Amino acid sequence: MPTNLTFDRTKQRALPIWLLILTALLIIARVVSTKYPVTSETDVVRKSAPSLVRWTPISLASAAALRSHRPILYEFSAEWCGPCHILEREVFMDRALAAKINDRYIAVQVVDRQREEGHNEPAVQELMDRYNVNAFPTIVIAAADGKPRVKDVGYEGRDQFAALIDRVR
Amino acid sequence: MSLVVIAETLRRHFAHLGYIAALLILIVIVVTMAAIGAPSQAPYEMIGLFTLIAGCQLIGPEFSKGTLQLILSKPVGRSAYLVSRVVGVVLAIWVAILVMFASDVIGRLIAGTTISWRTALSTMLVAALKALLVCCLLAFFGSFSRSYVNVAIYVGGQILSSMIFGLLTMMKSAVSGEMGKIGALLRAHPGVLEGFAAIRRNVFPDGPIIPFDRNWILMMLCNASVALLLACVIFSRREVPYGAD
Repeated sequence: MPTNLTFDRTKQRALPIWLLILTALLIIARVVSTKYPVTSETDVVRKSAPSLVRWTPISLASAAALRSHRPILYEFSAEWCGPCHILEREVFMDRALAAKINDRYIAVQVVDRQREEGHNEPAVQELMDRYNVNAFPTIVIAAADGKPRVKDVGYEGRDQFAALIDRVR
Repeated sequence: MSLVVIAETLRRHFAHLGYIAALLILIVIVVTMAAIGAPSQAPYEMIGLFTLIAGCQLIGPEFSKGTLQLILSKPVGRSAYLVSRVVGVVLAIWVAILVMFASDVIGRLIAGTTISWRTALSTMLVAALKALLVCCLLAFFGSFSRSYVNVAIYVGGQILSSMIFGLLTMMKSAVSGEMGKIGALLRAHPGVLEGFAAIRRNVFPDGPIIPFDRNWILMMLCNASVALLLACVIFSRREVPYGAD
């Protein structure tokens, strides 16, 4: 008497052809696609309209802050950090906000290269250790002597950032 | 693929008290975070844990309990069964992601906070593709293991690869002692660290730098497809004895 155990067991172990074809197509698409890297929107905007904030090198920041009696605004970011790109686009390329930052602060951009190069420059690492930065973007507003006054982790939008820079005078 | 298996997998999830409770908790958290104006990305971190819990039951427990032996005594293709199980679990997680997205939008509308559609949609896409890859990897790890060992392999691999990468990166800058020798070797052969980093990036990827990055989306789909194919190859050749664990 035929039972349900009489079916062809080799068919049961057959591989799905469609999955093989799909995988092959996806591999080909991926290989072809990597030849045409996607340019970030920030890169496109950077080329046409560079950051409007006047960034001061780390080594000159303290002296500049002392001379001008303005606090230092450190922006800690990384190339791979998505929200950092949004921050750059929405805040540092915004005429009004950039003018406010230039007017009130000595702005310093600190870019982490740990993931790309395995280590940071000593000056960058020293600042990251001093302000205990372990997420990006992080904004630290510090006095000329380095004493932190405000630390804000993450980017929550243009309005919140505007409120943050208004908070410290 | 078997529609019956997909439907049954979905039914089991939707009728599970744990799934319903987790979904309700997620809705409350997402609405609260949206109302206070927190970034859309924040609540989606929890989907990772949700995926691990749902994905760990793909195949292992059925193998250990003997259910799989019963199913495979019927004329159902092994690969079709495995793929259908993966599709069912992924769909159940995608439903949760969609509910989270809707909760985020509703929470922001109620609180009157701004909705960044681009961020919200790209975050949802990232969470959905990550869930797909994790489920396919869990199916792959489950295809040669039993019980919940697949999730142990996944989490262990994630922790170990992160530790080894950190250690190798530290060693690379060492210049003296035994570490210095390894450091010199790593500096002389940068491909070792780059290769290791590439494997990590492919198996345990971070989100894309650019929203809707075509290359990142293709990487996720491609890796998920390869993992699922490998799972089918191993699972179709696996001996399924009648004895459970």
